[in-house]
Amino acid sequence: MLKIEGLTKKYGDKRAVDDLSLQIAQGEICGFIGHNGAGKTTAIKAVCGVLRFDSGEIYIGGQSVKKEPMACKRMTAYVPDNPDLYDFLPGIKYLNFIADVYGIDAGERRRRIHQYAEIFELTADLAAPVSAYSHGMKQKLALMAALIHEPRFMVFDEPFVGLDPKASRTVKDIMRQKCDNGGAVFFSTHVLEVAEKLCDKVAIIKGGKLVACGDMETVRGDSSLEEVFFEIEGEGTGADD
Amino acid sequence: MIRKLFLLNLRALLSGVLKSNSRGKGPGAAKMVFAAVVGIALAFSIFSMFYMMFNFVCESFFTAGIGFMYFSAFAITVFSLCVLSSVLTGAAIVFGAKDNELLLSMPIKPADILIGRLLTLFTAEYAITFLVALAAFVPWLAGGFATGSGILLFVAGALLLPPMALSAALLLAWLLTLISSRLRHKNIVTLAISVAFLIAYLYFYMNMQSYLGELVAKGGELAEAFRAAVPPFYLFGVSVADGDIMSGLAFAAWAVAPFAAALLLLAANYHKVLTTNRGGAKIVYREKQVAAKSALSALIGKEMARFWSKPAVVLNSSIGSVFMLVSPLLLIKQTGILAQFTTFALITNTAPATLLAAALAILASSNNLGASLVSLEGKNLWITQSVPVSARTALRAKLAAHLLTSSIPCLFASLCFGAVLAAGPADWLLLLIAPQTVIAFIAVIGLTLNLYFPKLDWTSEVQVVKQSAPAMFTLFGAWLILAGLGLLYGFVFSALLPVTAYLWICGAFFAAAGGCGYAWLMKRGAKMFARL
Repeated sequence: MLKIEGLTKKYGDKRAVDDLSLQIAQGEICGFIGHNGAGKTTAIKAVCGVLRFDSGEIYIGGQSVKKEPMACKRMTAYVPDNPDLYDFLPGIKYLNFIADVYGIDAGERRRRIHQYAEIFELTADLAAPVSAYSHGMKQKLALMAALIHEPRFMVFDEPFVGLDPKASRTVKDIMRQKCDNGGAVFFSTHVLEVAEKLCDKVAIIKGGKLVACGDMETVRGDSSLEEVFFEIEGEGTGADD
Repeated sequence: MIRKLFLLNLRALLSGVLKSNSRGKGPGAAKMVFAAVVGIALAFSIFSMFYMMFNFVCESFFTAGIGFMYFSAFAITVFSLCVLSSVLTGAAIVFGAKDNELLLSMPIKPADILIGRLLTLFTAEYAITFLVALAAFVPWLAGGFATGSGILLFVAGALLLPPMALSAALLLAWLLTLISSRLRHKNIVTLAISVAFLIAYLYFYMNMQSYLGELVAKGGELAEAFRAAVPPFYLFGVSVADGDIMSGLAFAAWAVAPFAAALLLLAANYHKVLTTNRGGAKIVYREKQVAAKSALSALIGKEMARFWSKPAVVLNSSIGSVFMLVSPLLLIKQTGILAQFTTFALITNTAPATLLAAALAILASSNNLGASLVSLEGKNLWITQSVPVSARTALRAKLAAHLLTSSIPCLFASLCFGAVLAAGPADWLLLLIAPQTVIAFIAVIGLTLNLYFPKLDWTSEVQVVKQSAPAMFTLFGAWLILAGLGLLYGFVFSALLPVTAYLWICGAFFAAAGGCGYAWLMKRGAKMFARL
C-alpha cells in the first residue's frame, strides 16, 4: 500500500529526513517511532502530499505522490498531530465540506456522518462551531473527517493525543477493521505500549534516518519495544539507574 | 515585561508589513522602499484630506470670534478617528487574540499583557493624532492666529486625546465582545453595529463643513449649546484658543479620568474577562439531508464562511462593497446630491454615467480581500493541501470569493445608478462593465501578492486584513494606479480623447492585465501555493 524509496527532505542545510525507505503492505498497521524532532512529522507530511520533498519517491497504492498527487490523496486519510480545523464552521459543515471535496454523494455521507458521530459520541455537538470544541472533540472531528471517504490508507500523526480512553479504543478498533478489510495504517506515536500491542510493523527513525524497520516480532525479539527503542537511541530505560 | 510584550505585539504588527521570507532572510530593499513609499503616501493623503478641511474653516472661525470651535472640531475629529480605528482592532487584540491563553499561562501579570496590547493601539492612535494635528496646526499658524501658550496647550491637549479615545474604544469593544458572545448570529449583529457606526461617522464627516459653516453663521448661540452637549471638546477648544490653563486642566481631567478608570478596572479584571465562558445558547444538531456540491463550490463556500465569520475581515477587506451598497441609496433618497452631481457633470463636461463608473472603480479599489485569503488559511493550510483538490482549484475559489464579495455589490450599485440616471445603452454598458474589470484586476493582483508575501503565523485576523504587506500593497497600489491613470488623462489624454473613451481603454487595460495575471496564477501561482 505504501512504498517509500530514498525519501530526503532538507530544511536549508539540515536533512530532516535522510534517504528513508519503507514499505507497508495491505492489512498492516505500521507504527512510526522516534524522538521529538527525529523527522516523523516531516516524513508523514511528505507521504500525505502536504510537504514537497527533495528526492526519493513515495507510492501509495502503486501511484506516485509526486506524479499523481490527487489520486494518492483520494486513497489517503490524514490526521495531523494538532488538528487545526476551520474554527469558523460548525462541525457538521466541516464534515460536509470534506465530503464535498471527496465527492461523497448526499445519501452516503449522511449515513457515514451518522455512523461515525454515534461511534465518537459527537452527534449532539455537530451543530456547534469548531471554535467551541475541546481538543479531544476537535481530534474526534478530524478523525471523522478522515474516515468519511472510506480511505484505503490512513496516516495519523499522534492520533491518540487528547482522546478519552473510549475514543482511543474506538480508533484502535477502526484501524484494525480497516486493515482487515484490505487497507493499511501508518501512524506515529510516543506511546510505545500502544505501538507494541497494535502494530504489525514498526519503523524507528533517528536524526532523519530509519534505524530499524520490520515486523514487530522481528524488531522486538525477546525484549520489549521500549527496551529496543532505548537501545537504538543509545540510552538506558531508566530501570538500571 | 511590558516593554517585551509591547515589542512582541509591535513585531507581530510589523511582520505583517515586512515579513522576512521563509529562509529567515530580511524583507529586502525593494520591499522596504515600497512599504516606505506606501506609508508616506498614506500619511500624505490623510494629512491633505484634513488640511483642506481645516484650511477651509480656519479664517472664518477666528474672524467670527469663535476660534475655540476650530480646536473643538479638531478634537472631535481626532477622537472619532481614534475610536473608529481602535474599536474592532481592540476587540480583536485586547479581548480576542489567540495568544491570550498562552500568555496567561506564563508568569506574566494580566495587567502587563493588557498594557502591552494597549501600547500597540496607542501607537496607531498617536500616528493618526499627529497627522490630523499637523493638518490643523499649519493653517492656524499660517493664518497668524497662533499664540505661544495656545501652541503649548494644543500640543498637551492633543497628547491627551488618544487616551480619552481609547477609553471609549475599549468600552465599545468590550460591549461588542459581550453582546456578540451571547448572540447566535453574533457576526451579523456585530457587523451591523460596526457598519452603522461607520456610516454615522461618515455622515458626520461628509456634513462637517456645512455644520461648521452653520456654526460660523450662528456663532455664540450654537457655541453655548455645544458647551452643554460636549464639554470636554469645548474645554479643549477654549483652552487652546484663549490660552486658558484652567480650561486645559479641566480638559485633562476629562481625558485622563475615564482612561485611568478603564485601565484600573480592566487591569484588575483582565484575567476574568479573558477566561469567563459566557456560554451562548447551545445549538441542537438536527440531522438533515444536505445536497452534495462540487469541490470548487465547497471551497468557495468555505472561503465565504471565513469572510463572514469576522466583522473585522468584512470591514477591512471589503469596505468598498459597503459603500457600493449604501451610495445608491443616498443618491436615490437625497435628491440634492443627485442635483449637485449632475451640475458637477455639466461643469466638467462629462456624462454622469462616466463619472459614476469611475466612482465605482475607485470604490472597487478599496476591496482587497484577495490579498488576504492565502494568509487567512493560517494553521488550516494543511487541510487544503491534504485533500484531493488541486492548487488551481483552491486559487480559483479564492478569486471567486473576492469577485462575489465585490462584484455583486458593484452590480447592485451599477443597476441603481443606471436606473436613476435613466442611462442609455452605452452608459449602461460602461456602468456595468468598467468597474467589474477593476474588481477582476485587483482580485488577481491581491492574490498574487499574497502568494509572494504570505503571513500564516498570525494571532488575530486583523494582522492579515489590516496590517499585512499584501493587503496594504494591494490597497494603496490600486489607489496609486487609479490616481496615475487619472493624472495621465488630465495631463496627456484629455486633449486627445473624451473621458468615456479613456475609461473604456482603462477597462480594457484592467481586463487584459487581469487575464494575464490569472494565467500566471494558474501556472506559477498554483506551484507557489502548493509549496507553502
